[in-house]
Amino acid sequence: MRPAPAARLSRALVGCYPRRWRERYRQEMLDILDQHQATARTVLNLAVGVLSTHLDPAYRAEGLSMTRLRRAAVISATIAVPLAVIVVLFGLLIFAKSWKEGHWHIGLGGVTAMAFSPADQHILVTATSGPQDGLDTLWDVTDPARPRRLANFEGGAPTAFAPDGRTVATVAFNGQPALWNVADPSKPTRVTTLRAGGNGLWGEAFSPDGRILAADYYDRIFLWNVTKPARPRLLRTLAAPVAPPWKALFNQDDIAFSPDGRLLASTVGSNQVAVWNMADPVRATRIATVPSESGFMNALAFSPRGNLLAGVSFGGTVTLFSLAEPARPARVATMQTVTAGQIAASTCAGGCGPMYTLEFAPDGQTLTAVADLSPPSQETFSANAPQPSQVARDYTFVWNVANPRSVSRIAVLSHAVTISGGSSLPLLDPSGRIIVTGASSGFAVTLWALP
Amino acid sequence: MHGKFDSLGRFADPSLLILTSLADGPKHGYAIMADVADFSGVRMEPGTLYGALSRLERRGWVRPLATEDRRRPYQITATGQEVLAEQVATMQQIVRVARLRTATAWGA
Repeated sequence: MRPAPAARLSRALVGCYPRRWRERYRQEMLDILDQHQATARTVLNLAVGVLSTHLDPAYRAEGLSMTRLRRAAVISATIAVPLAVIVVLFGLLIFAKSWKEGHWHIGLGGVTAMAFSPADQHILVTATSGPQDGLDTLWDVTDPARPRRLANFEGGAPTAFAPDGRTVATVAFNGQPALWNVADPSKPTRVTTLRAGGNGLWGEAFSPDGRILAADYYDRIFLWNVTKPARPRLLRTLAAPVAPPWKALFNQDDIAFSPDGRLLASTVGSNQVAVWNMADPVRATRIATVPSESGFMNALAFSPRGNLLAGVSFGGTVTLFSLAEPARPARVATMQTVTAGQIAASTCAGGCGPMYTLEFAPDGQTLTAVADLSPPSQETFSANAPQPSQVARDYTFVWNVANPRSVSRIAVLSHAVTISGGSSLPLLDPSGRIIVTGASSGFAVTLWALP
Repeated sequence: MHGKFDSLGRFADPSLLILTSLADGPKHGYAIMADVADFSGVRMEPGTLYGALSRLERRGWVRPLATEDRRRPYQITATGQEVLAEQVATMQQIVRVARLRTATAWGA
């Protein structure tokens, strides 16, 4: 449609709105139409607006003006019928093309989450999404070069293993958390589902004694007593500090228990790290809130002795806090992992960016951070083209933190990891010697040996 | 950006876009349209804009200010700001689920 008739029709349609509406908005709308480049879409949009306003109870009271409605209906039909024919023809064309190429894969799929069993360090659980949505797999990785598949179960993302290795907490893709009995890794069974205030739980952590499960949900942390996994009891809901910038709410967040189980650290919902006193979970209170100077923290880890808390921010800065006085965490060291340039190069328009894993060695002497930088992804949804092959890169940084006041970097490793689409959070095995990466397309899990 | 969204249907709720646009100060109709196109890539048509504006006004989430030369600026109300904050919280929940499903980290 040429602009001139479209503009004329648009102005005519403004006259078709109910009288009271015109008295209020007509001048403003005409002013907008003066500045707006009217197209067929503008006309159609106004026609729909006219009809829905006439049907709106707030304006219906004045009585329908049949002449106006009829005028609007005629104008809409003139536009809508040819448009509908074009849409249907295009749809048929696209359908025929896809059919011929035999490719109906629309969506994403791949490995989304992973966890190691703390009891048997050779049991790994992975989850996938996409066509095999929510399918988890238990692996025996005794021989990292030849992982053995033990069983599949439909749990969702496994986010935490209970310390005894018998229970896995998962979050289904509808946001429903559940507990699974994996005492016999070849026969996993669902024990129960947990009910929270809403769906969309992201991070979960078991207390070291395995009695408490903490799960964060937007600005809240739920604490369940899971002594009897079949009958979990909601003990308490903690309100996490939420502060601008709101965009921090969209980040990967984390919660972690101190090794003695008396403290819980969370990054939930703001550019801050909160420390909670968990001595009595029923009366858990926030004892400290530390602003993160380097932006939102993506991952947290307590040292094995519980005297240090490490956090890594989206910008790749690792901060070490001393917990000598848990109510007053003191910043003792900051270390940089990947550079701002590397992050910028890996951040795509869709919002993907680096993902981090942080872990102290069991002896507390070293701290390892893995930064996973995805390549900028192309078109994510693809109806008839194969996904372009892409290589993500993992950077592993190892520091000596025996003396937190003079931290030295021991090693930096870098390797290409995944193909196509992106990857899940990198994972360190409990011995700190193997990095596990999962490709989010192609369902591949890769184990990397650290020297 | 909007090209991709168009092919998938209407992604963004016009009310949310308008409230977001007014969050940093009053704007008149055309300025809202230009601002929304600018920050979200969504090209709102006048019919959609005024349909949503009149609903927002009726609910007391925005209020019209005095007309300046044919143009009437709109201002977000305190209730409107609360509603916007709630909407952002809901979106965050959606993002969490989307992130679980796509395993893609979101930038700061």
